[in-house]
Amino acid sequence: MSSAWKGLRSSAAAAALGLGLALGGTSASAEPVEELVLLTWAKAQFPVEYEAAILLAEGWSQLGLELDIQPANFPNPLIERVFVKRDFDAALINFTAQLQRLDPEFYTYNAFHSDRAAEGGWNFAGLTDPELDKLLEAQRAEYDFDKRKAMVADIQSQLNDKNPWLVMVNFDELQAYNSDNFKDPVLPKVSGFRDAVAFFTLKPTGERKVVRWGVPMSDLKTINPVIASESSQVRLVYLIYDTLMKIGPNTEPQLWMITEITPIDDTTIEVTLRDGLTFHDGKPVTAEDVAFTFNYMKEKKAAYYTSTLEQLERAEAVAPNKVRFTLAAPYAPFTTQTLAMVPILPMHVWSGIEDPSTFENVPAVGSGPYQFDYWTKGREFKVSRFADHFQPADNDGLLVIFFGTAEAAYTALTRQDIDVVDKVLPYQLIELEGLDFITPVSVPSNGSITVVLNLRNAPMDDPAFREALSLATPRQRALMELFEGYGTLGASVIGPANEYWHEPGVTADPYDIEAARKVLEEAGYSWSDDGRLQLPQ
Amino acid sequence: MKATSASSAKIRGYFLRRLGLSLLTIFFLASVMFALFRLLPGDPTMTVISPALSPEVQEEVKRRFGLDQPILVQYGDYLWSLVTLDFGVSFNRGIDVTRVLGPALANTIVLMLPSLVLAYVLGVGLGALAAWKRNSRFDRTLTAVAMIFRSAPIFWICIIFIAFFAVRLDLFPTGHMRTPGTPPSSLLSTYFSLDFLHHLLLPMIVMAVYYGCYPLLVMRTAMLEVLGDDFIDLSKAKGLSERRIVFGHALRASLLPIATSVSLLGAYVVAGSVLVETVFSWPGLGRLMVQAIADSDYPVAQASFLLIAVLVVVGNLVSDLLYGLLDPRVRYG
Repeated sequence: MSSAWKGLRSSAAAAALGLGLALGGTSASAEPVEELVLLTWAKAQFPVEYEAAILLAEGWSQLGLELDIQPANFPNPLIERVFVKRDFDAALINFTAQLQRLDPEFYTYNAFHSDRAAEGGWNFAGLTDPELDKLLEAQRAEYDFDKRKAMVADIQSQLNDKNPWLVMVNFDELQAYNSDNFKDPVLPKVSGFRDAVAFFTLKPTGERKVVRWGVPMSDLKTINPVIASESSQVRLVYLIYDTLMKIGPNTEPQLWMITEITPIDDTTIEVTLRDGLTFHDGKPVTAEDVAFTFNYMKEKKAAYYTSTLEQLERAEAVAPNKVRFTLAAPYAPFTTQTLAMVPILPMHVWSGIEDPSTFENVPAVGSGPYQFDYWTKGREFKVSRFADHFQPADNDGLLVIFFGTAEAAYTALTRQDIDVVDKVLPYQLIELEGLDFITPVSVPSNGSITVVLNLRNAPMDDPAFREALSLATPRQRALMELFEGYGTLGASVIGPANEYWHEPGVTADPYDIEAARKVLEEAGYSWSDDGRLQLPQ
Repeated sequence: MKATSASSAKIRGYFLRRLGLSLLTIFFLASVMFALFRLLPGDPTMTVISPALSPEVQEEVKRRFGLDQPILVQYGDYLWSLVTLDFGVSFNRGIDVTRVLGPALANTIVLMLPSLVLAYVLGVGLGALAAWKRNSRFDRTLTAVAMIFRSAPIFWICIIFIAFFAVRLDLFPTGHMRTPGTPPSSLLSTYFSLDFLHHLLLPMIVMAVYYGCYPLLVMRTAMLEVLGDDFIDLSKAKGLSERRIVFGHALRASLLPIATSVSLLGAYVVAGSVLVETVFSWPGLGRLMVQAIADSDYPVAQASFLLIAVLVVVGNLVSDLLYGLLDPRVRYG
């Protein structure tokens, strides 16, 4: 129906143009570029993304394009339009900063392999390039870091030339904590307080031993790791549950519950567990538990881990402290990403749970630095220090307090009612700099505001057209006006915050309308008398 | 004897008729809601699980929540679940909807009910006074203030009250139902504690002041009419005290329109609770509903909508019955 409507509109436009030509008498009948659908986020929900779309439209209209800005509510129907219907010409996407997206897998194979262009896949742009596919496959099978890094650099350069995505801004994570009450947290690069380790390492300075963290949501939805489906839920899971690997403070992969990774061959990996690991109920963590967890997550199709477990065939305990993983194909992210993502479950709790989707999991039993204390629905969630952990927390626990609005949480921070807010707005950060008991935190993140072009639709399938769009994208204005300068200009799909994998040779395109028009002209595009861009003849 | 039983049969008939109508209203609302939720854009299974989903996972979810059934079967299941009060399992919490809604509903009621009562005590009292002192400075100021409150959005009034009474004067907490860090306790001790009362006070005052303006204006108008009646002059001539005339005679005669306003205002208060709860971080039904809609958690959203509708319908029913009690002329017609 919508395409029929589009057809109708375009023929009407063509008719109008025909009339114009008859009157104006200019050269041959070039067709105008149809109005482009620019999908963005609902203004009330995500004002920054909405404003970014307005800025973008201002830039692109300089090329003689007409844009239909369509704000949509997240998650519904935005997700369906992006993931399933692919119902957009350009979509403004906020890629949130997530540790799990540090491995290049997410921003390379996952986002650009032709496999992923089918319905439901992350290749929103619909880029299908057999040459690039080969490279994408090769990097994910390469266990040698340096070799893989070179391939990933090459991929970034190629993507920069092809412009399926126009990264506008890599924004900083803006956060703040009360440094009168707590000091010296380890603030991991790219995430800060989005990583549980920042909470574990807050050291009390006085009376208050339990950290208070204000979160603007009505409640935690679930503490069941198998059904948790978004990063906001999973973050709380990681307070209680440990992982085999961890992403270290400098984005480097770190051994955590394990002491060794032994690759047996390309598709077999063995890990050795640390001694003395215990669950919060006092039972030991064994290889059986680990193997069970991976198999269970895979079998029950745990929402958050489905894609990272895709290559896993099975896990088995080969000794009391050794687990062997068998993969379907060589998969380098397995050690750096998968092992750092999957929370280890106690088999004695979960083996009897046939249907995890109706399991509340209260009290949650894990083996992490914090143990479950209580959860009063809609009000607060409390975890406390687990003394038997191999790296116990520096404070007595963490109280997660739910706030009705982000402003209320911010006010509570300024009144010293709470100690941590993990998301503040740029202007609030500037205000907080004036309070001596607050330490504002701004960490370059691996999140971005990105324009995804839909290559399934003409003329987005034309590389020259995409290059012109990139040159007409006002990145500098977006950075200054929407983020008060807290961030960097977008260039590579893997942003500069991800130091290890980022390719510094890829730099942001300048905002240059002249150059953009020249690119279009050379590719055969022209302009009508009233300045509308026309397709090449 | 005979007359009494006839009249009690009449009462019963009236009551049953009203009850039947109320049930019909609820059925109608439930059906509209069912349709509305299915008209919403987007596929609900998109958000139940991670978007990067395999089709088989999606099918599994659809099957589990009965979304693969024909729409009429879904409707039948839905109606049956209403009758049996089984609202299913929350899409993203993994527990029964009733367990999600129960505490939230209780929290909403403990905030709404006292606010509504206080609103009427304040509104009726001040409205009567304003009418008695018609055109005095007191009356003019009060009416002006009431008008201003009536035309301002409630969340804005809430923010102003928080900024002044909580942040500036530090008399009240800025929000929440209990001081953070209070371990869970029994329902009774949750609500019967000084700490709870301290947290309840500010949102209750805001709501009472805000919603009290409506009965105040209604009362003032009704009272002005009554004050022109002959029996007031008669009372004056009898030499009754002013207080006695206003609060003893005129007030009682003006209560009728107030009774009608209860159900109307009740609906307003329920609708406004969404905003008040959000601004005050109050863990009630309104906030839960907003979140459930944003998350496309249909079972929770549907059930909370329905609960709110039921609250309003019940309020209407009660006010209808009250009306009958207050005014014999309309009784059980």
